[in-house]
Order: sequence, then C-alpha cells, then structure tokens
Amino acid sequence: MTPLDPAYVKVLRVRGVLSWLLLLALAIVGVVASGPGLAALPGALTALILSGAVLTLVLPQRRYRAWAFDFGEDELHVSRGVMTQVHTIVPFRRVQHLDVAQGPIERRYGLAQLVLHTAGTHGAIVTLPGLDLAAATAMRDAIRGHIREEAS
Amino acid sequence: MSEEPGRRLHPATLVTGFLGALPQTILAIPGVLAFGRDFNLSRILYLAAGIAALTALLSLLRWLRFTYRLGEDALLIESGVLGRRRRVIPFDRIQDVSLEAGPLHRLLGVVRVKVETGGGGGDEGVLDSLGRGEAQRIRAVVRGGGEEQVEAQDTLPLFHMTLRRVLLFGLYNFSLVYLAAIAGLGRFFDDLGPGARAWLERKFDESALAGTDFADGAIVAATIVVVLLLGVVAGVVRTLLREYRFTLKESAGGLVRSRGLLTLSQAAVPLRRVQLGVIDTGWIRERRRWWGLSAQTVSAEGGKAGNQVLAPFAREHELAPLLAILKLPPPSPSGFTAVPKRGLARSGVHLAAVALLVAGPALVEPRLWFALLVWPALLGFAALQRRRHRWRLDGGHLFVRRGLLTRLTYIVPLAKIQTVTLSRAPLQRWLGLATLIVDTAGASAIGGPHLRNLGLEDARALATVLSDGAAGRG
Repeated sequence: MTPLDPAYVKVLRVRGVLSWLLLLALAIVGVVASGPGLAALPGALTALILSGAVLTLVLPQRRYRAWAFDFGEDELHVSRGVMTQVHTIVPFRRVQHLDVAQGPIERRYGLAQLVLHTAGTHGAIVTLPGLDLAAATAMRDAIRGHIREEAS
Repeated sequence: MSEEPGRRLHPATLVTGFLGALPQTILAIPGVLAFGRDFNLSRILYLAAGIAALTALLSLLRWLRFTYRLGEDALLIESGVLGRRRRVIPFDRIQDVSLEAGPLHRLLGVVRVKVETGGGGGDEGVLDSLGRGEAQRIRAVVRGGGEEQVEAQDTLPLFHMTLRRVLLFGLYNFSLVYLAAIAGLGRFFDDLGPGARAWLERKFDESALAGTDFADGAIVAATIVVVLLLGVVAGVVRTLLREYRFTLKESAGGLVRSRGLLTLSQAAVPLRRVQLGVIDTGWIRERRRWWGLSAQTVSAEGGKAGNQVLAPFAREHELAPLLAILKLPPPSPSGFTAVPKRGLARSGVHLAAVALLVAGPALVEPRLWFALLVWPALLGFAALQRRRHRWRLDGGHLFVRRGLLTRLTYIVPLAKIQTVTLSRAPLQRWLGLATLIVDTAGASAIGGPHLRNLGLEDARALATVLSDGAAGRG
C-alpha cells in the first residue's frame, strides 16, 4: 500500500485549526450568553488548549497514517479510518465517471483528490484525497484509458 | 418516421380527471363555509355545484392544453394551463412503458401510460388516460427505439397465482403495521361519541359477567381477538388488491408481470438489467415450504434502485425455472457457513447499550425489574440471527442468507458486484472480525448481501475472490 502525499498532513492540520476556531467561537458565545462565570474559566481554558492540541497535532497525524491506497493493474484499493478501518476495492471497469477535485486548502498545497463514481449504492462514491495534482491526473487518465479499452 | 401533430388525451380523461380532482375540492367546502354564518342546505348545494363546475372547467382546460407527440426519437409532452411545460423524453432513455388501469379507467376502457426513465422523481412521463389502442401504439413505437424492450406475448405464463394461492398468501401477510392502523380506527369508534360507548357498556352490564374481575379480563381478551382478526382480514384484503391474478410471462427481452384487482398493473423486467436474485421467506412460511423470488434491477443510467417481485408466494419447483431464466443457480441449503460465534460478543456490547436505555427506569423503580430481561431477550434474538447469517461461494456466485423472521437469501453473480469493502470497527478488530460490504447496482440503502461480523481471514479471502469477479479476472 502507498501512503498519501506528506503535504496532506498540513491540509488536515489547517482543517483542524478551522474546526478548533469554530469550537472557540461557540465557547465564546456560550460564555457571553451565560454571563461572567469566572469560576469555570480555568477549566474552559484547559479544555480549549487540550482540544486544540488534539485537533491540530494528534488527529491530523493519525488520520494521515490511516489513509493508504494501492493503484493496481485493474483496480484501486483505498483504506482509511482511524477508529473504524475501512478498505474498499474498486475495479476500474466499474467506474461510471471520475473527477479530480481540489478544495481551497488542497489547492494551496498543490494537492487534489480523485473521486470514483460507480453504479452501486453503499460504496458508490470512493474518494482518495491527498494526492499530488499531477499524480491524481495521471491516475485519472490511466483509469479512463482502462475504461476505454474495456468498452472497445 | 414523419413528425406527427400533437395529440390530445382520450376524451374520457375529462371524466377521470374531474372525478379524480373532486374529492380534494369537496374537502374545501367546510373551509369556504367557515366564512359564512348561516348553514342552510341550499347554500351548501349551490356552493357544491359551483365548485363542481369550476373543477370541470379546470379539467377541460387541462385536457385542452395537454398534448403529446411521438417525435423522431423522443416523446414530447406539452402541458400546463397557465405556465407551459415542454418535456422531451428520448426513446433510448426510456426504461419501461407500463400500463395501469384503475376501476374507473376500466369502466371507461382507458389506461394510464407511465413512461419510466429511471431518473429521480416519480412522474416523469404520465399519459392519463389513453385508449387501449393508442397506448399499445405508443408502446410499440417507443420500444422500437430501444434494443432490449420487453413485449408481452400470448405464451403460457411462467408463474401464475390462483385466487386460493393469493388468499393463502394474504394470511401470511398479517402484519402489526395494520394493527396500528386499526388502532387508529378504534379511536374513531371512540370518537363516535358517548352514545356508542354507553350502548356497548349497557350490553355488557346486562351480561352475567358484569362487575367481576373476569369481566375486565374478558374485555381485554375479546379486544385482542378482534384486533388480531382484523389484522388478518386487512392482510388478506391488501394482498388480494395487489396480487390478484399475479401472472409472469416470458417475452423477447425479459419477463412481463401483471397483477392487481382494482388497479391492474403491468411491468416489464428486462433480463439484461437484472443484477441479482433474492429469495425470501418467513419463519412460518419456510416451515410450510413457501418462497418468494424477486430480482434487483438497474436502469440504463445506473441510478435507480429497483426490486421487482417475480413470484411472491411459490413452491420450490415453481421457482427453479424462473431462476434458470435469470441464469441464477438455485440456493441448495447445503454448504453454507455461518459467521463465527464470537460476533455475538460485539452484539452483546451493542445491545447492552440499548438495554440500558430501555431498562433504565428499572434501576429507579424496582417493580419494573422485568425490563432488565430486555438484554437477554435481545441477545437471544441476536444469537438466533447469527446462526442464520450464512454464506456460500459457489463458482461464479455468492450466496448470503440473513434474517430470522423474514429470511432472505441473496444470489449474487460475482460479475455483477460493483465494489467490495472491508470494514473493521474497534471491537471487531479486537475480536478478529470484519464486515464485508458487497455493493451492487440498484441496491437499496438498507439491506443487501453484506456479511456482518465475518472472521477476518474469511473476510479477506472472500474480498479477494469477490473483487476478482467484479474486475472480470475470475
């Protein structure tokens, strides 16, 4: 199995910071709404620092390490998930259409995700994030070539 | 084919449209009346006549403004009284043309033509109503465009249900869902007012049982019996309405099914669209050796899920030829492997959470101690389910069995598998288990030929074999 591009950790970290900021905003709203309760302040601060450390330092690393893929001759293996580990196998000939997508954070680090759509229900959309843009495009073209070959 | 002019629906549509819209408009009468103060009969009659006239005018306008046309390669429908809508349905996108006729339609000799494309949203192209000849013409033209359309032929049916069979099936279709509906009806009788209730109570007082503990027990017992009986009757009636004269015929590209008592429905199942077969039975039905067969189908664009019943209630020897047509092997009961027992440990942990929620009050109120029995009961159920969750790999097919009360057997051709997913939650990792999710085209979001809590080694080996089949390597 191949790991994702190491830059993907940074993407996950930025996302962690964003969710932490959201948490912070909620906490501030909560404090303002409930009035000045200085007694709870040390606890709240500790919680914020702890959650910040988990969201930006611990989780991104673990999430990154949970991802792996194997670009086979006629199928793609994708495994992911920290708690529940999920391993999906997508045969190329089952792919209906495919995208290379880039979010704003990913674009900043030159990364992209490959999205495979099949005709199924449960695993109909298989996403492989954290790829170098050139690699993602190459993989897309390889799968497209495979489908074309199959069709002819 | 030359471009033909737009056609109107059958004039009988005026009648069906009018009568169809009437119930809704009548419901509006009380609302309108609420504005006035005096409720004399003539006023109500005038109002009703006015509303009826308005409804009639509307259905006339709708009929005048609705035209359809069979173009070169598409069906064109123009509709809308005020806003116009022009819909184009290309022939090669049409999955099926089904004909339906409700009681009123049959009286007037017309049918409702439904053009299904497999896209989202139910009413993609409904022509309600057309004469029988015109409906057949549209069907023929549309089917000329597709390569795999199915036409009913006057052949001997592959499967047919006699009235006796349908009624028997109805007995098995007794369901608690109807009981809920009936309970609602019971409240309606309560609402009839104190008069009805008092009459019942007086009748009861006259009997010798009145005033004893036995009387209360008798009322409860009688109620239970009545409700159960009503449940049975409701099941039979529902089944009769749906499955009456169930007939399955073979045709050029597949199978054609027709059924229904008041509303006759006809549907085609193109064989090329069939993904897998499901044999269903129940815990009593299996003992009495009754089975049902349905096929999971997919539309042209690969979007719409569909489970087509091919034989709802049949004997094994009746299913065999149907399975042969679907090119599916019969699932002989031997050779199945059950998922390992240690999966029960996981179910136990999950169910404990459920049981705690249910039995929570028992911790506070000692008299509710029996609620604590929920956990062993659920676990016992899970144990029985585990024993029935079995699988078999046979040549090019995966067989998966599941269910205790409703028992399903999936027959999945490996070549029809879309993706294979192995999922391991923390507890599963600890117990050396995995869930294997076998995705197929047209599968519904719930259920499917998945294997829960399979041994990890088996799961890995199976995933390899299944993905080989899906990729066409096997």
